[in-house]
Amino acid sequence: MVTNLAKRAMTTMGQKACIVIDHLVEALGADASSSLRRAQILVDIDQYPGSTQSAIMDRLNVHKSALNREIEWLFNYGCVMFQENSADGRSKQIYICGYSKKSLDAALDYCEGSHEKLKFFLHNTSKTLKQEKSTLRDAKIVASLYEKKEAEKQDVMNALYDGGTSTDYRALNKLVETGIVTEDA
Amino acid sequence: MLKLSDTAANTFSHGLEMSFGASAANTIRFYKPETLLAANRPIDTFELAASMPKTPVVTLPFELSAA
Repeated sequence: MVTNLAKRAMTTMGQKACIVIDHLVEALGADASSSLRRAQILVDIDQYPGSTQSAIMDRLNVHKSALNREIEWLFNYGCVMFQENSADGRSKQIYICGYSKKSLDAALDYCEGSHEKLKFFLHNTSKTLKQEKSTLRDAKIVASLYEKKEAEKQDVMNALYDGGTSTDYRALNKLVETGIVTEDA
Repeated sequence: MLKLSDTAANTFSHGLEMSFGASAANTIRFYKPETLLAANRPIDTFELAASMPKTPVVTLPFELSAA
């Protein structure tokens, strides 16, 4: 507890962002290609345990088919489990579970345990990235550059995950193309 | 060298402040010694506090009031 408090106190906001993104990647099956939307869904499921898909859909304003796909992905990667809904036999209640719960709790630790703050972080990062389907990899590039102020391409790459160098470069190049990241000649 | 555009850095910074910034619960605040003394005094010492003036006190800059 004390160690955690000290760790948080000694961490800059840019570093906190990097650590939180790392925990979210862990929580989502170590897949850095996971969208920020998927991360938001996982946070929402943890915030409202036992929610049905329609309740999540209403809260997050996600299209039904898109949410179906994400929930299916989360289930296949062991992030969530279903339980029969005693109130309505046609729907199922969804709960976060296993390693996802542990990693998400670690991320929440940096937001004073507030799901709303974590959701806002994801929403605002998505707004910063201005992409249709921003990923946690994109978010990590932005957070690393925010922390470092300026960095060589290789330094940014080193901060990323083991998702394949070409994928990382593609993500970075897209951020340069869209003007989120600027490159000195 | 790579860096974030100013717009991106500002937007991202706003999110960080809202999500990870110091909240009222963990902000360290500093008070003047007399403020702390007043805050910690026992309840019965309130009787020693100056009574409310009947007419509003005219506050003047130090030089004028001294003259």
